[in-house]
Amino acid sequence: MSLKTINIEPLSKNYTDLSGYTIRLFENIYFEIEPGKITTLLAPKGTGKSTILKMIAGIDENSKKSVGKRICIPTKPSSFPWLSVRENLAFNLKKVDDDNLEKTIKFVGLEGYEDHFPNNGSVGFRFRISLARAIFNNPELILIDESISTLPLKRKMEFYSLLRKVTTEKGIPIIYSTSLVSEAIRLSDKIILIDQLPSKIVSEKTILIDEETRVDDKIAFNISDYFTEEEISILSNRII
Amino acid sequence: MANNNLYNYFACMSNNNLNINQPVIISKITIFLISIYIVLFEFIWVTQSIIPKPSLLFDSFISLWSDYNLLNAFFETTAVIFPAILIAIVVLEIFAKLFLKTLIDYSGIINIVTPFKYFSFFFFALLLNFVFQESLLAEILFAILFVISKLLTSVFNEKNFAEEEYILSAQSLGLSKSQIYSIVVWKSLKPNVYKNLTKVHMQLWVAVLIYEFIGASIGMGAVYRLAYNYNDVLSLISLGIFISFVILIVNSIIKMVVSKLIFWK
Repeated sequence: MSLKTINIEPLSKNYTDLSGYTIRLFENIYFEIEPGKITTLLAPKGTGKSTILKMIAGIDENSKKSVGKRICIPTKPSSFPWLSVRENLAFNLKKVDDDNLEKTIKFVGLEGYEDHFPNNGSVGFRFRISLARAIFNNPELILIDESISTLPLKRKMEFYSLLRKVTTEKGIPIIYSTSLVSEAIRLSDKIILIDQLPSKIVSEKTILIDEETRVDDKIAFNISDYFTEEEISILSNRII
Repeated sequence: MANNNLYNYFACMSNNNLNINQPVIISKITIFLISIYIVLFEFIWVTQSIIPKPSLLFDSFISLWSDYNLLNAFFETTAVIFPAILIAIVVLEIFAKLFLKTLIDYSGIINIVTPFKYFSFFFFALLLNFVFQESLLAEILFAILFVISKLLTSVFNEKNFAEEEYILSAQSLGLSKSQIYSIVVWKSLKPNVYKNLTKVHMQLWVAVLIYEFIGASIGMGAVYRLAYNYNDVLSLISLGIFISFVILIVNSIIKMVVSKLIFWK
């Protein structure tokens, strides 16, 4: 269980197109990740959320600095289709604690599917494998790039609940990126609102909702309870 | 975790439908057409002399085994084709990492290789026949190079090498660049490379038959050459039908094996 706060140091990035024209994609993005909490980057599409996540994970093309063990789950969950569930979890690990492996598989709800292959599985199935693999690697931070945003609401609730469990029971902090306000409210302990272009942090919100309410699909959240009129006016045209 | 711009090398792979699980079957329409051919040319339209009668074809097929020593030739040709495919696959599997690394690190190498695409394999068959006359080893070498070049071409033809997500995950899990080549990229490419194996097998038959036809001393190509010299059209046709059946059966086996071993897409 990671108990220390992780400071994300200021991130900036430029993009140069083929004609040589350079634009500032985002600047001075920095924040704190509290242990055992979900922090959501809420921003419109095309803001550079994925790039921010890659930079935080240390896997961006220009990342040179060594970061701690941070596992990134990309937009399309990327469990390797040539490996079984069990093999995916043990991938690239020299020593495998079989007991812990079974527990992790059970934790994400894949019990009974240990020898199945993700090849023809649903997005949800593949996401569970990716999440299990991330947890099994014992990371200091998991970064998730909109991986479940496209799922139907009922299915999403299951995964919100699962991700909340990862933070509360395993203590692993998560950074989730989304362009959906309702998703951000249901999932997060903290929302970091990012505007474009160049993308910068507009505000940070702490979300205090009990766990049952978060995953109750009958409850709709009112955006004005969480965001100021100014924030809504800035973002309402850009965020669904 | 120091990372280079690996992702730039590997963008999303095109999602073609592979159909590697689809078995080769003789369709009902083929059986129907064969039946029509037998009935029409054996029993109804017996006076025509353009299309050979089925019974004559059958007789000539039987005589291929006795007069042309087809059994021996068949073993000679298959002793080139099947080992060549197996050896080429083993070479490709062993050196896949190196091939990919070279291809990705020195992308300009594709430009060096490109002109050779326009050298017909006929030229190489002629050259090898000229240099190593009647050498089975030279023929095997020719066949191995043919298969490797065809399979590598399918790697070249991939617009991109692997799903971005696989690369990102692998990087995130701490894999080295070399491991990403050998494990993630190669595994991602494999279904698309091996889906062409049946096509390569078919092309290899043509290439080897031409090689043997030029040399005129070993294999079924030499039988072709002999039948051609004797103006034995019936033998040429029945040999063609026989070879097409062999290709069909072997392709079914290849498809079955590939779908079992490379089950992912």
